[in-house]
Amino acid sequence: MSFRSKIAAAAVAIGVAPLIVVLAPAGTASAHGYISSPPSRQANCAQGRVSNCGDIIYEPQSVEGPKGVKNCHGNNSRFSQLSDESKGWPAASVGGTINFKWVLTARHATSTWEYFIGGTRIAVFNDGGKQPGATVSHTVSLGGRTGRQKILAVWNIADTANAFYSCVDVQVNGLAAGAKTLAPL
Amino acid sequence: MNPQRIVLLLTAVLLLAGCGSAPAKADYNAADVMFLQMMLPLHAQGMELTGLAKERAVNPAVRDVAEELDSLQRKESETMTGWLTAWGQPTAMNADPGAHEHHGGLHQTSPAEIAALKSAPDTEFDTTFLNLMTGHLHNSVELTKTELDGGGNAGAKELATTIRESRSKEISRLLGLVG
Repeated sequence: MSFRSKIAAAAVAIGVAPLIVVLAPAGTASAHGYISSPPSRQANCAQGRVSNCGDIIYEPQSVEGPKGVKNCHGNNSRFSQLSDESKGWPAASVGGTINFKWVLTARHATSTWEYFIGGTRIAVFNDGGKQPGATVSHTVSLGGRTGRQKILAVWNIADTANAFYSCVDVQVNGLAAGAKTLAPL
Repeated sequence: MNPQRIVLLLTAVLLLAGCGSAPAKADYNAADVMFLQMMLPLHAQGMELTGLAKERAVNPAVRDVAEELDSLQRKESETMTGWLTAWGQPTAMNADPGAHEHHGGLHQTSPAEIAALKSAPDTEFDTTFLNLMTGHLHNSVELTKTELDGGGNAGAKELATTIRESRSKEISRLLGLVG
């Protein structure tokens, strides 16, 4: 074996010290998630259906902020575009009751899932600190509201101070009934 | 001792002392090894999902994307296994979960999720697969970050870039099918 190979073998045997740059700040929740159907704003961004979304297109699952926030970006300054109401957010055509489905990257212990329109909470589902099931969906009534609506969905994590935020734009029994409205690219 | 041997010896000393600088002569580092060792089981779990979807997806478009993802993950797994073997590194990773914290922890698609997909009725199969697969792909993309920032091997870094870009496109496609 050559001198170089002996050194390489010795390095492997001893274990080269990790050369890793720590990227994740301490205390970041390891689980992330967002609403995929009807598409949340971040899901629409990830699909390229809205322009100038910023970083969210690479990580729609990361709209994490402290609990109790009532905006679409969860006070997370990286994703403030999500609260920009001047963007042409596509609105899915829906009926008066919606079945929301979530993408989760890990099934983290959950306190509640909450749904708001304006300042009003229209639904809450309590997981009591347990892990959610393998898939998560909630059926939520819009309480008779019609026309264009924006629902804020919140996934409250049980063992951190944080939550994940998803805004979903819909057109209830809208003009283009049965057709999904696409924002011009 | 000639100058080249002195350089090699000093490099060896640095390596053996565990200092945090890239070895001058080795063409890979510990971050590369850990990236491959973590990506392999992620791919294996992904292929459990796509293997099911190839057989059972109702929408042909969902079947297509499952087949494509299945084939990509399979090829990439062969490449990654080949590199680890050539480097004399184990293809199975350190079982201590704490060892992976710097890489964002050990995100995995759990047996519960695979079981949920298996038991999903046809009416729910596609949606279940699309949401589970999307979550899984986000984890794969996330794992590429630390390789791109801390890896030393050109091939592994290129693979990380490829995975990041390819999976991001697939995520977009999956979201278009579920929403």
